[in-house]
Order: sequence, then C-alpha cells, then structure tokens
Amino acid sequence: MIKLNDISIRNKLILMQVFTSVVVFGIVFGVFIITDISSYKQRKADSMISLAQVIGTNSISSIQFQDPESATEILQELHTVAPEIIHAAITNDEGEIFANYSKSGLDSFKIPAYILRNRSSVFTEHQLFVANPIVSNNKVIGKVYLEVQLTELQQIKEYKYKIAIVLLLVALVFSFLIALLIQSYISKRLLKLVKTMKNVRKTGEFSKPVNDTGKDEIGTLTKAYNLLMEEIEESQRKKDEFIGIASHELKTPLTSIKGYVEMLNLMEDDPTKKQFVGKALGNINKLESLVKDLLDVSKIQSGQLQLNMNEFNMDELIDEAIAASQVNTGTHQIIREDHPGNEIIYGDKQRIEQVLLNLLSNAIKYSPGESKVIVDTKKNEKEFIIKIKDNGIGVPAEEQLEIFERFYRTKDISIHISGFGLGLYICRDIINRHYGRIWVESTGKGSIFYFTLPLKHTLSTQQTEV
Amino acid sequence: MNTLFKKYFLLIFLCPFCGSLSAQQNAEQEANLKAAFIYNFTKYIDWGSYEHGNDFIIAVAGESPITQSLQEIARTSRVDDKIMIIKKVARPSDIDDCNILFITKECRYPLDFLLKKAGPGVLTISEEDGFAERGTAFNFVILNDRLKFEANLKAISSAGLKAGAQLLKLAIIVD
Amino acid sequence: MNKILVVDDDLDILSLVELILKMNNFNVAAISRWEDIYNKMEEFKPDLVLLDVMLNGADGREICKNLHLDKETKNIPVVLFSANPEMGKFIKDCNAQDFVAKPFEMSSLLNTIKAHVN
Repeated sequence: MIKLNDISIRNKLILMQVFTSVVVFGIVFGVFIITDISSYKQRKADSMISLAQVIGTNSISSIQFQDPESATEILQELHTVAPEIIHAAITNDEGEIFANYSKSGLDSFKIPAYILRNRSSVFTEHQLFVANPIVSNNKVIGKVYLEVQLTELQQIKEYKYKIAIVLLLVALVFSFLIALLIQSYISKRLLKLVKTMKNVRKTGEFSKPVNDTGKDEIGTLTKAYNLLMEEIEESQRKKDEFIGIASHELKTPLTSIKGYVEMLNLMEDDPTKKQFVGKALGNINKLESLVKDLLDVSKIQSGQLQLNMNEFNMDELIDEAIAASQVNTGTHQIIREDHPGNEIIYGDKQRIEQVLLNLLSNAIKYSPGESKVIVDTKKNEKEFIIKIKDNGIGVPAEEQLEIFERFYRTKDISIHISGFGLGLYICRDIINRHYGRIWVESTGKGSIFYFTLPLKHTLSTQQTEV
Repeated sequence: MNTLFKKYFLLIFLCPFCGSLSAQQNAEQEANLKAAFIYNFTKYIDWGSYEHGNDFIIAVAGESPITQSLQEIARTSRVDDKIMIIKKVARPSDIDDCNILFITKECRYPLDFLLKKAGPGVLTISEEDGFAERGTAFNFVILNDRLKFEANLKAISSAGLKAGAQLLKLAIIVD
Repeated sequence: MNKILVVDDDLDILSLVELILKMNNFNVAAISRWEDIYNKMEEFKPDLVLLDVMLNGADGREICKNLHLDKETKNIPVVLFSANPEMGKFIKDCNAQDFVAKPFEMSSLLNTIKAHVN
C-alpha cells in the first residue's frame, strides 16, 4: 500500500500536476466532444426535417389526389439524394401508411411508438427518426417519417475519441516534463535544508544558517530552523560557559580541601588517622583531575584550548610520565621496551604529558593487577610513534572509534570504571592539534593505544595541509 | 369492377388509396371523390387575368349527383377566399360567366358545342372516356378501380390557363 | 626571614596559604581586601606578593600592572594565583614573575615562591 505521505514531494508535485492536467484536459475534451456531437446531431436533425418538409410539400398533391405511386416515386429519390436514409414513409391524417420506402435489402419500415407522440426528431443509439407533418391550407393532411442511419456520426465519434486520447497523452507527457522542471524549484530548496541539517548533525556546527529568502512556507521553515539552530548554539555556548564557570568555581573549595587535608597528612602520625586522611587525599586528587578534564572539554568545545608550543625531550617526558604513573599503581609494572634516544619534539609539553598520563592511567585502570603495561616507541621519516600496551579487557571493534567521543564509557557493565569518560576525548583533541593521530588496536586479551607526533621537519608542511 | 372494400369518409383532404366501387354506396363515394378532386384542382390552376368577380363559379352541365357533393363542399370551403357557387346549367346557352365547366356524363349536349361555349378562362372538366382527347382540360377516368384523371395540356393552354406541375405529374397526359 | 604578602578574597585559602608559608619559615601578611594592598605594602614592605587574580571587584592582573608602575613597588616580585590555568599566559603582560594554579601542590607553591623571592 503506497501511502501518500511516503511519496517524495518531488513525485507528489509531478503527480499532482499531471493528474490535474489530465483531469482538466479530459473535461475540456469531453465537453468539446459532447457539444460537437450535439451540434452535429442537431444539424443532422434539422437537415432531415427540412428534407421531410420538402418531401411533404411535394407529396401534398399525391395525397389530395390519392396517388400513392407518385408519392412513392418521391421517396425513391432518397436512394440517391440521401443514402443515409434507410426508411421513409408518408402517412395520412389517420396514421395509415400511404407510401413507403426502404433502402434495398432491408425490411419494411416500423415506425417506433415514441415517434408517433408528437416529437419531430428522436435519436437512438444508431438511428435518427424524423417526423414532419404535411400541411396544406393550415391543416395537417399527413406526416412524413424518415429513419436515418447514423454511420457518419459513429465515424465522427470514433475519430474524435481517438484524437482526444492522443491529445490527452500528449498533454500528459508535456505536463509531466513541465512538472519535472518546475518541481525542482520547490524540492531543491527543501533538500538544501535537509542536507544542511544532516551536515550539522555530522559536524556539530550549529552556526551555519541556511540562506533562503523566500516568503513562502519553505522560507518560514528555513527561518524557524535558523532560529532553532541559533538557540541550540546559544544553549551550547551557555552550557560550555557553565562548565567553564562551574569547574572554576569547583576549584576554589577544592583548593581549601586539598590544602587542609594535605596539612592533616603532614601533621597526622596516628596510622589509622593517617590512612583515613590518605584516602581522602586520594579522592581529592581524583576529584581535582575530573574537574580539570571537564574544564578542558569545555575549552575544546568552545575552541578555546590553546597550546603552549615548545621543544622538549620526548624520551625524558616518557620516563617522567612512567614514573609518575608508577606511583599510582601498586601492583602493575610499567615497562619501557624501546631503546630510549633523545628525540626532540615540538609541542605543548604539559599537554603531551597529560596524554601520556591519561593513557597509562587507562592501561592500569582497565587491566588486572600485577599485569604488565608496556611502552614502546618507533620512528619513521615522518613521525614519532608511541605505543602503550596493556593486558586488559580490550576494546570491541565496534567501539574502537567511539571511545574517543565525549562522555563515552564502555558498554560492558560488568566492570565499573570511574571517570567521566572524557580522557580520550581530550587526548584526541590534543594529538589532533599536534597534527598527529591517535587510535587503538585491540583483541579480547588487551589493547594497544597508539599516537603519533610529527617530526619537526615535517611540521611546516603538515600545518598548511590541515 | 366489383370488389369488396372498406368504407371511407371522404371529405376534402385525405383519402386512403385502397378503393373500388360497388353499387349505390360506391356511386355516392365516387361523386364525393370527384367533387373533392375538382375542388383540389382549383389549388393548382392559375386563372391569371381570367380571375374576375367575387365568386368562384362552377357550372355543372347535366343532372349529376356530383352537383350535390360540390354543393356540400361549397358550403364550408372557399376558393382563393372566394365563395363557391355551384350553378346548374341546363342548356349550353346558360353557360356564361364561370370559372369551371364540369361536363357530367348525364349531359346530353355535344361536347364541341359545350367547349365552344366555355371559351377562354374556363377550366373544362369531364368524366367520359376519350373526352380529354377531344378537348376537355381534365377528364376523370377509372383505372384499376381507382379514380384517375387525364389532362390535355393544349386544352389547358388554349383556355389561357396554367396548371401546376404538382397536379400534372399525377395526371395522365393526353394530347 | 622573607616577607610574603598574600592577597586572596577566599578566607579559607588565605588562612591555608598563610599556615603553609608560616610552617616554612616565612613571615606572612594576609589580606582579603585588595583595597588594603597599598597600605599594607607600605607598612609591611614584603619581599614577594602572592596575588589572587579573581578578586572581589578587581582583577589581580590590573593591580599587578599598577604595582609595577609605582616607583615604590615596582621591584617587588608578584606571583599570580588562580583557579584558571589560562592566567599563566598573562604573566608577562602584567609584569608578574610567575603563576601558581589552584588547587596547588604544596611543594609547587613553596618552590615557586622560593624561586622568586629576592
């Protein structure tokens, strides 16, 4: 069942136009044909009545002098004069047949009853019956009846129907072509709107208004859409602003809490109390890092994240990051497998450190205790590749791109992993800004996170590319 | 000549064509029919300059039942809006001003005499075989049990009259 | 003993920093109202000022600039103090010496101050 709403507007418009054309033309042709045929019939009837009139006049004397032969002679003339007349008869004033004529090969005339009832002409499907009184001295002395074969009419009808159908088909084709051209005007604007909407969903750029200056419904729709987009953009901005403010506001009391708890830590000797304080401190640090991540995300979203670019020693940074991460894990072993060189990288040292710390922290978080985390590096002529391998739960293939999205947490609910799910999103942004790449390869037995950083000499070309 | 037939009422205009004659009834019918014919003749004859007077006079020569039929017609009908007068003519010398001279078969007078007396402007009608050849304009004959009439074109034209084609086409032309 | 002037409108943070610095043998003056800075500077004559950026009704960077313009105070090092890590970029603009982010590691705070105090 085809629903009207499922047909594209383009097709609906075309259908509508074609349908309208066909209906209108059909009606017009119909009317024309009907009036044509009507007037043809009228003219035919009139001319036959005239003929009957003439016959009648010429038969007056035959009737007056009771000479049916002469009347019959007149009727016989019809054979040549009006071959479409198949029967003719002259009756007297009492209705009895005085003279009659039938075209060769046909039975004699039977005057239909309805003719006798004072009608001068009657059309049946194939014949025309005509009756005309014979008047002499203002008195009706008889009647002339004619039966006319309407073959000509049949032919005319067929011809006209054929022409009408041909013209109708022509009209159909033309209206289809015209509709095809015209509909694009409407559907083009609509499709442009749809395309923009799809794009916005993909890129998240809400600020691109659709340009449409029409005052019709599509124009109104476009304006409403643009306004809506503005509102969304505004609310996005407010949200980001809020995140920024919120994280800033959160940091102030955090500062106090952290400071005082650290003091407590220094001052407390009692082992139990020290343990408690230690737990509090650990969580304060977690909290602090979550708040920082939130702020980073807000900056990335609003395009405010800026890098402090400098040259630094990558190998040293890796060692530092490993050392810092090792402190946070009891049982994991973080091992460096490559041969450390002294690779100098141009980038934001603090941010790259952030990436390393994040990846290492993930490796520790998502793999069981006492397992190994392996750090490896490689270098080719274009880039420096860092690899962090763990033996954890791995990342399913369908999630390997999604994990870098905001707020993405693993779908595996059997494990509870803390955090907002922002870390990889921030890492990706940082690495992208360095013109590097970040990705994961994974089986069920563990994951390998890779990221690349361009070597110094390739940077200038990279920058123009992106 | 005697065959059965239906009875028709014959007034002026319409007669069915089936007819044959039998005895008294038939005689009456024949008279009526002939009178009707005579009356109808007037519709097709042009008297031209011979039209005169306010009345239309049909002179009937001889004692004939047709006279009565003519008189009946004359009661209700007119010729050219003129009152019809049926005049009995006993002797030829009585024939003077008339439009039609009807010579009945009862008339004993010689035809030539009557014709001479009739003169121009008079339509002569007879009902005796051979009279048309002898000079009457129209002559009734019975053919196949049907009433027909002969027409003598020369007689018509020498009387200075014109006969319409519609009439002549029905007549048996005799010369 | 080096004299440190701490300016922050958050009283808890103010006390905390004062405590930490005192524990590390600094002579500390702590004020929460930035309007009092000039008077305090004159009275206390600090060797370094730890200056919060987001003050009630004032921007620490502006104050820092003004301090540098003033003949009396232009040689006193200023360390900016803020929860907004971006503030680190403004050090040069307002003639501050360094920047400490909130929340801070105690060691980090102490090291920075020790580094710049003359």
